[in-house]
Amino acid sequence: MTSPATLRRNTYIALLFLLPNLLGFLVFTFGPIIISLAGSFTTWSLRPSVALRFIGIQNYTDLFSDPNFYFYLYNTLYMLLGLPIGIAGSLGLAVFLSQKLDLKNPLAGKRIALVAAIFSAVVSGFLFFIGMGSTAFLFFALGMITAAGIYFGSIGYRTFFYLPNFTAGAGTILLWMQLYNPNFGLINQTIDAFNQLTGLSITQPGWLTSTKSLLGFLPFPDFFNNGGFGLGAREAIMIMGIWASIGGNNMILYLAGISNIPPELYEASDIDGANAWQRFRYITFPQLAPTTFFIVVMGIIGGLQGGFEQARLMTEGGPAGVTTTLSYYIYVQGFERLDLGYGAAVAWVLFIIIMGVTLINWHYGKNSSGE
Amino acid sequence: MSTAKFLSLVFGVLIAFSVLAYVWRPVAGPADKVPLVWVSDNNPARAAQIKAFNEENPPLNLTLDYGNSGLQKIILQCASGVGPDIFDYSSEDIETYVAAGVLMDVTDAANKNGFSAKTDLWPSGLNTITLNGRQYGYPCNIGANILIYNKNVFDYFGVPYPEGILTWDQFLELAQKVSTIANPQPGKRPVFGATGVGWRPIFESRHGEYFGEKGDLQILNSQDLKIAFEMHKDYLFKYRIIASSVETKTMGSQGGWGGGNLNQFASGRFAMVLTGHWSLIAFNQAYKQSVDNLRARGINPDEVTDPFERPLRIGAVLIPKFPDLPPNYRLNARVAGINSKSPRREEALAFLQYLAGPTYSRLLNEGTDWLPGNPKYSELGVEPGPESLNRVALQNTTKEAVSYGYSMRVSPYLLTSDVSRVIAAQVSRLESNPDISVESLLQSADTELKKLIRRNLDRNLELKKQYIQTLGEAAYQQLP
Amino acid sequence: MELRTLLKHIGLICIAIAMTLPFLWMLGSSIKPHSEIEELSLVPRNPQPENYGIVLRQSPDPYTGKYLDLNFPKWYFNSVFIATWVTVLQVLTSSMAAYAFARLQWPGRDKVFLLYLGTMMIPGIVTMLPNYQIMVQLGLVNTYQGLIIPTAFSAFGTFMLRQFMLGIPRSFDEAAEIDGANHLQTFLEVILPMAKPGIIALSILTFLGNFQSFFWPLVMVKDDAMRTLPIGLLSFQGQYGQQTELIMAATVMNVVPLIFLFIAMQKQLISGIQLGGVKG
Repeated sequence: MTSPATLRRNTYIALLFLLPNLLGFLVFTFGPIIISLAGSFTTWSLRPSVALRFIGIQNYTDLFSDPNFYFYLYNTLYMLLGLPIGIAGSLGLAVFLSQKLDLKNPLAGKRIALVAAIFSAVVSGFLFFIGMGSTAFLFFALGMITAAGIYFGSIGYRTFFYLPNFTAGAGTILLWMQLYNPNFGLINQTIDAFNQLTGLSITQPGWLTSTKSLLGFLPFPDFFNNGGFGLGAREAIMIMGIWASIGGNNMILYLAGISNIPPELYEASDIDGANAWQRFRYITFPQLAPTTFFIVVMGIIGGLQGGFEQARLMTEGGPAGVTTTLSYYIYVQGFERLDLGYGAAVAWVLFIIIMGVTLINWHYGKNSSGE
Repeated sequence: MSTAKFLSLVFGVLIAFSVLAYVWRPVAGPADKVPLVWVSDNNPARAAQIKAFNEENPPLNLTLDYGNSGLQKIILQCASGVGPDIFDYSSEDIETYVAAGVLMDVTDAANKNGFSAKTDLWPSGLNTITLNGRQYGYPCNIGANILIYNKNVFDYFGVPYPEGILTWDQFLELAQKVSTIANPQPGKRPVFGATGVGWRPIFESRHGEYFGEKGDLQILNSQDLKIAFEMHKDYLFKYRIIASSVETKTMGSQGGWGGGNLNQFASGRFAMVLTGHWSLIAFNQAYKQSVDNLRARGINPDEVTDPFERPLRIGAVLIPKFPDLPPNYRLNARVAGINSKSPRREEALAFLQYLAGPTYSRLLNEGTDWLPGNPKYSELGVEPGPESLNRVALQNTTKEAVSYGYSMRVSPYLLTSDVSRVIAAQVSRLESNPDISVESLLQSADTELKKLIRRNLDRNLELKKQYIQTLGEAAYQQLP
Repeated sequence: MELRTLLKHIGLICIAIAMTLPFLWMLGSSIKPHSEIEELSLVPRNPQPENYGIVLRQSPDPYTGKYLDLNFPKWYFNSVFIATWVTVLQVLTSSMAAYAFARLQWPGRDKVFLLYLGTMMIPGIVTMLPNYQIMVQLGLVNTYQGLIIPTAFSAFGTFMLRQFMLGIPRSFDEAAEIDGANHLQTFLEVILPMAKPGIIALSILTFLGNFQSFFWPLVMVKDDAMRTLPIGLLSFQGQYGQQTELIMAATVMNVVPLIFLFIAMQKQLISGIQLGGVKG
């Protein structure tokens, strides 16, 4: 056992190693957190005319008695609905990518890839020549992706799936805003063309202009601005979020998890005559439980804090406040109303919520994954 | 390679990088001049305006910084002592800036040096740059909105151009005639009647106010607001002559000088637009582009008959009014203010003086950027330009609108920007649900705003005392 | 058998197209002239590759005839410079702290670690304003130091590397101790090289994350010369309109090097994330 002297010496050494990080942590993370906690009990404001006064829990009572707080809380929690879809999607992609993709004859694979590349180059060149520029470009891209996929196998596909992760930012948001335009955007125009082709009349969703949502059939109080059942602004943002993250870090974590599953388990199930679905349900999914748990916890923490950039750039929290999540609300209170104490109070309530949800998850997850 | 060597390599690279960063610094301006930084937008005319200022003021060196603007940023930077010397703000936000303490009070200097709000400004624009009798800047441009119509679209539908000043009923009739969304006609392109129309211009045409004379909130029982909301609702759902504000915003993001809906108007998707004639900046470009395209195809622009192939032709009239009321238009301005914490604020006053002078006014008019702040020089530099853009008529219509102009009352208990935000949220509710009654919208807005007032009062004891003194204890107790 | 494999490939190709399509649209838009930017076509009828030149200030804007006033190359340099510094500092301090948590026994160790974890749950916006005030007091607003120092410390990095180091067998430590190495030498010569996959993964994630960080530079940066890429892209939106095609060109130039970086480092990044994540 370590003697007291060694323990003390260890502590000094530990402190030395820890010092740079700990210092930065105290000054730039922990310190500001305490300052903002203290500030939430005062009249902290950017206005010089408001004197800094201690007002106890008044900020908190104000925010709990404001019905809008519950509305924004609902919005924040609603955005979590996309999480299971995203995680399931990442899992599905990971399973798909882990399958055997090599053809029996590897040379045949390379030849197919080369043929695809050349064929698409020639055809798209021809299309370009006769003036169908967009189709040519599309065809060319299709050919190159096919060639890369067949040639490189799962590594190639992985790169393509990871692409949306990179292009996050102003450019992607602009793009999706155009796609979602209810009259002239690509998505609704496609639905329109489909309607004309098949004679159906699927309604074109309002997307970013609509307050409808998938839970819109539930009876909500008036100030929730519920527009009824349909695809509205919240769904628009969720779909964009799913697209951006489905091929990202979660998928890679799952790929790792799958590659760690001992093959003997699958061999045993083959002997018992299990089909693909049973293999997944009784082997793959349970074996991935720790990974799923990690992803869910991180996803919830991130999801509850999110929604800020989309709200700010795409919808300014609208229409009718439907896409205002708590982080956007904090921003507006602090920076547009200059009321920093109140903003800090909301931020701390959000933190308590995140902490609570995480703890529940932890407890539940620990039990179910049998640790 | 051992870890220690690897680390030294990494740090070597970093140091080289840092040296590069140090060398690649922006060149400081001439050392003998006082540098002034002006945060504004990237209006193409800025370069000439700045050059003229520097020539008239040799000891000063003004530079432009665009891309740094935004209410939150400016306030935060100025409050922390790192803000620019001069910055532009919208006259609607004057209270927020003054409340944050970042605008310099220039009343005395203005009176002495010829840029006073009382004598060197359009009379109806007094409140765009003053608050409680003190002046906080001078306009870069100022004006009121007018109704601009697309002659090509009117020709397409065979409808005569509007003249004089319409009533809102006449406007509705006209808009229905020039819109295929309102009035589907087989074989004709999709056209919306108008853009820029909504509860706001209607409210303002009734001289609408948010606050009473004592600073009390007047939303709940406001006839003006009720009528404006009802008409907005009908225009959107019943008559379908306008697009919803969110829809317009998604169109507005699709590139183009002046925002998307101006470009959409220029290309014939809207028949009319309610806007300021600074939109000529965008229209000039659209016009030039279409003329160039036609010439490149060997076609003479004057000989085109198809209305949508022709280059833009516009005209303007005053925004509609109500038959029983005189015309009323709200003045808006892009004001240049001085950072109250800037160490060079005294020198910056010269810029405000410049804005009220003839050189700047001429440059502004040449750039067709609304009206200059000083009515004395409102005609300098007004050139006819391409005939079909009718620049002189637009200028004169705007001046007429300004003569009917007013600025809204402000209240010490609540920021106007809070009111605008809450009302906009309610309008957004209306647009997404036609079954909501206007009364319930006003009720929600009223409750929310009264809550904000109470929050403000509870945090500022002086203000609370003032409220109780002016409006009575009962009024305070009634706040939710 | 072969057919099944081909069908799988077809499925994957379809998904890959769905992922890539928006990016293709971005590429196409980046060479569109201003007038065509609202159209939904993938490819312009009159391509204008000069857009790239305009952004890089090599050619003038065709409408105003003037060169762009914005310093895109400087922004690029700033982003790379700041991201590099932050990555090096973060990895260094995090690995040292991780060693203290993983290998050394000292009182309160686990409690302090839980504290680190807890701070990851705080919404970032909470720490932003006090940090800004600190920077103002130190006079570091609008400087490189102000942009680098507060972000150079990360609880996440410490967490991730600690997990790694826990996975390194103690036998290596003991061997080094027998050879007479003290903690510093053990750390530098034994632990760090063994944790290489984790360090590489953390470096790449930190670099990418910092390269695209938006909120902190938004508040800290004043001058055009100090802007980073995400903030700089905002400057293309003025009151008088938005030059979407230039934004697209700038975004493409922003993203393409990152893609090459990803492709080059794919193997290390993925093995790093795998080893770090699963044990978490």
